[in-house]
Amino acid sequence: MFLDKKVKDLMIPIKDYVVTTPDRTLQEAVLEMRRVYCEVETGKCTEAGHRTGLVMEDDKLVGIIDFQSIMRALMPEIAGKLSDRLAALGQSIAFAEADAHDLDEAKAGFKERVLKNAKTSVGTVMLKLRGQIDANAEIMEGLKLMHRNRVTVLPVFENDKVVGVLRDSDLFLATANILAE
Amino acid sequence: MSKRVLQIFKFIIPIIFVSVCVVGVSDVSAAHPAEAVEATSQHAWWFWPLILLILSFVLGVFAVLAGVGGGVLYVPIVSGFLPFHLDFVRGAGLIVALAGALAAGPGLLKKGMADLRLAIPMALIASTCAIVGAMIGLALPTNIVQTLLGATILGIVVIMIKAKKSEYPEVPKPDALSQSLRIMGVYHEPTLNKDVSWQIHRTPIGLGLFVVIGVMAGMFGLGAGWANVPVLNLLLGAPIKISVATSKFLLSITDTSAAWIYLNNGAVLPLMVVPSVVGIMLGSFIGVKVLAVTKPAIIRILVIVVLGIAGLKALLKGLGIG
Repeated sequence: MFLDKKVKDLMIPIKDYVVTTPDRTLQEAVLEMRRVYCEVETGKCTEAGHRTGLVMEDDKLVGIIDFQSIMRALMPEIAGKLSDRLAALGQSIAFAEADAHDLDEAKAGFKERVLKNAKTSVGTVMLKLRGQIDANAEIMEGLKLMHRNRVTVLPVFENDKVVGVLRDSDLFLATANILAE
Repeated sequence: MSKRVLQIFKFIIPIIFVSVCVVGVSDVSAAHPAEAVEATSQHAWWFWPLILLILSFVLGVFAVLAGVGGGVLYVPIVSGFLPFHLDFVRGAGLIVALAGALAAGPGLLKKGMADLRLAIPMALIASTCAIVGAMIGLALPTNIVQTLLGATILGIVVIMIKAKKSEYPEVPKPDALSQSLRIMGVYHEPTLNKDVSWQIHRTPIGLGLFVVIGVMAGMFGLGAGWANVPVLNLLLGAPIKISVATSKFLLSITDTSAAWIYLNNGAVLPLMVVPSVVGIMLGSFIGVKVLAVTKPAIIRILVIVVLGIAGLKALLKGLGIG
């Protein structure tokens, strides 16, 4: 019966998830994320593909990488940290004042930006952890935590060890299942 | 043209109008030194800093749109049209050029566009000579410096009109000096999706020219991007991207050395420097936003003409004709 279900019953087990390290390149992480995302999307596994990956260092969870964080890395002059935005502005001014503004990387297209960031390390773009949940916690607790922390995924722990990930899409599908019964 | 750009221009044009009016008024007073002292004493302390802020803002916008360094525009225009002593204007001009270089330098270095192996030998010579240039500039009588500044500005105008750029200059064989200093490199060009390797030649001549560039940068407080880029790109044969980035990084070293001399001699007035740096940086920020949408060719012509007039004015003033 659904009422008895815990977080561990809805979570995606870590073995089915993308796990990377901070020193790996964005190229490696993105290709691995695509493999898992597309594998799931073609119907081999669950209903919703994974749009995030866990970043582990020495068996310790240090961050999360998601589609948005990857996209943000492509436009540091808009979505980067203040220091990145200022650096991009300084470079734009430097090239403009040399009458070579067409060489400014802020003018680069999508493909050029993707290629430029291929070697960027995962550690520089990953998101900080905002909350975690115990595998035996109630589902409602996970829902509240997601809302409170404004996140769409929560790493699930069991005895201080990451065992899986609870996503908002899992909660949505659980909602749909209840309504379909 | 997008609505946003039109809005920016709507914002800029009144500022230009006000600053031109104020500069015109101040120019009249500058033509009569005795009256100028009388006139300035009537203003509140914030009057001239405000004028500098507005003028620097306009110069920042135009520098970016015209493809000219902020320092190159600042020194001749401020010294030519506002009643400040040339030493203070040169001191402020150096800090203005330095602010832009320091904002861009670390990022360009981090991205591998500015090359340390290329920059350090040039910077060593240019910064040493900039110190000498600054000392000469402060020791010489003002009218001589003004005459030389005028001549230099007119030379810059000629360079701006004549100088071309070469994206990937051909370097058939690197010279012995560049090889022994290992001045060569590889950078990734995302537009081509390939690594571009580069090397340089004519290094001894280039180092010799950096003696002149350093002296001029220190003496006139102009910054030196206008000279660095053609030397690095056209003479030494570094790709234009590497030349522009390395030039900016070089400026941060060269101008710092010269700035110390001006600072030590009391020629850097915070009341002039702060509004000038803030104005130029804000103006450049707006300029970059406008440039992202449009690059009116007329602006470059206009700036070259204004720079030519300012250079001529400085030359005539130095010679006691103006």
